Amino acid sequence: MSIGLALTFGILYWLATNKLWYGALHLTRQPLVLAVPIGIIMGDVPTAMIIGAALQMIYLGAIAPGGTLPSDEALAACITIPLALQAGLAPEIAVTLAVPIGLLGVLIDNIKRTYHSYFIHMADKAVEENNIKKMRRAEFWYPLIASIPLRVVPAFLALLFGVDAVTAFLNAIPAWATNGLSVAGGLLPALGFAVTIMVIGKKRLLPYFIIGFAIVAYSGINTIGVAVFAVCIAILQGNFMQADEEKSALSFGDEDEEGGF
Amino acid sequence: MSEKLLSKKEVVKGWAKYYLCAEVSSGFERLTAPAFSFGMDPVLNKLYHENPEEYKAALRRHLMFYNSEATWGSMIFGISCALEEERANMVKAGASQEELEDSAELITNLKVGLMGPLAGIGDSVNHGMLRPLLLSLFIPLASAGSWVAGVAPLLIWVACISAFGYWLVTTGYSLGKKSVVNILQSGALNKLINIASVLGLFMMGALSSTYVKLQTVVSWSSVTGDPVLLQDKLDAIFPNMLPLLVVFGVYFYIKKRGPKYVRILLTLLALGLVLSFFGIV
Repeated sequence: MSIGLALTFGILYWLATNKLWYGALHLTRQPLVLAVPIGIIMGDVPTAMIIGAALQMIYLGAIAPGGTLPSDEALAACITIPLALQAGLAPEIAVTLAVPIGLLGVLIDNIKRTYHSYFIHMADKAVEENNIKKMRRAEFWYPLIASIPLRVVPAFLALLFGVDAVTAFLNAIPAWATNGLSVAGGLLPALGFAVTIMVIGKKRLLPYFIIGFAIVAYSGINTIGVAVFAVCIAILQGNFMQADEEKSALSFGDEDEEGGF
Repeated sequence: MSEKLLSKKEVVKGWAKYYLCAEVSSGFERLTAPAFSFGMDPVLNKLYHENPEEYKAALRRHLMFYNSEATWGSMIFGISCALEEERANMVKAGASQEELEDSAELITNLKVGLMGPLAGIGDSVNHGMLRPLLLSLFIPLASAGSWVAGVAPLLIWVACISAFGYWLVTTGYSLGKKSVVNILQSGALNKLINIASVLGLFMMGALSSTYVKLQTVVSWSSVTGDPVLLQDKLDAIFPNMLPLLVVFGVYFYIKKRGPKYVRILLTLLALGLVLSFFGIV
């Protein structure tokens, strides 16, 4: 692929994953949405949409609990769809390329979340120095700018070297490693869930977590069904608490708070 | 009662900054704290511009660990604005040091108490239910090659979710204004946090069961020569028990050793690779 085209898709990947505006960021990274600009740039929107739909199906239910990504669908879309359009690959082949690329993409996000520690310490220091402008930069502008090379470069390189190089690279990864990454992708959400349990911070209520888990594990009921049980039980818990309160007034702050680490 | 120091417009403007930044600067150390602080900054500046020490203390207060689902968490932002406004009034009225400390503690407790449950609800409702539902509606259209399938879900999502966030921040603010005193005295806040925690924990449990995946492929031959799968045996005891063990393993690790996210992340990654290398998964 030409340098200009590869760079364009690298920038598109950054635009999809810069995470500006929370109400948009979960949609801009979806293959279905990215297929439109990719199709326009490559001059074949219908085929791009068909491949995008095939990719979307793998990532349909992918959520990032507590912010922990299981897989980077945006990187998969920005590399696989252009390559598939250029090389005339079938959607099924594009999907097999997309899965390992999406798994490797998780590393990018975690690198970012690691070096962000540096910026938050900079913000702390800026507050102590009464340098509010510097604090604002450390809280928003620096992380935003730092993500440009981090996002653009990997997508740019993959597209520059083209479909044969990407396939060769992916083939060079032994099967156990690809499988291992996929297993790790299934394990990573555990971190997000654990963080959320931690942040809720009410040890006494932990059995509710296990009830929710067991209901789904045993019945395979869908999320909306679980939500019905969850809302009813939460209301009952509230009512019981009120009954307790009438006996002895509860004071705020006697909970086993542990969220504020 | 107290003097009105903030306009609704200023609250919404602060919220928009928070909402813009929410995940941009999220990191392992304090998650989305920089975004919360970034959004609170103009509000705090308005409230405490005459009192640099209070302004600085407030900025420090909102740079503490914070993580929630940003749309549902908009409510926390609204309530925090109302509570900070209340506090600024107390400062002006010359409240005692003790009263001021109580109010700071209240603001922190409220954020810490609500952020987890609302994250649990937000992740499960918005991202576990609504988003896959919306996208799945448009997949058939995309398979037919239509560009509408890429544009329509984006526009629908941005419009509806942003409007919901806006509604939550304004509701949170007026709720906070109206009932600051009542909430505290009646223990209603405590009750609200508990109900939301039950809901959040329950849904997090349900989602973990779906989204955390670990299955073993270990098998052996029985005396009759049929293959016996270890996974079948485990499922007979408790289905999905391995994912549950992983979630609680990570939870107890964080509890014991603190939030060493990078180490946990690398461990999970290595675990996947090692288990796969030895043909266990």
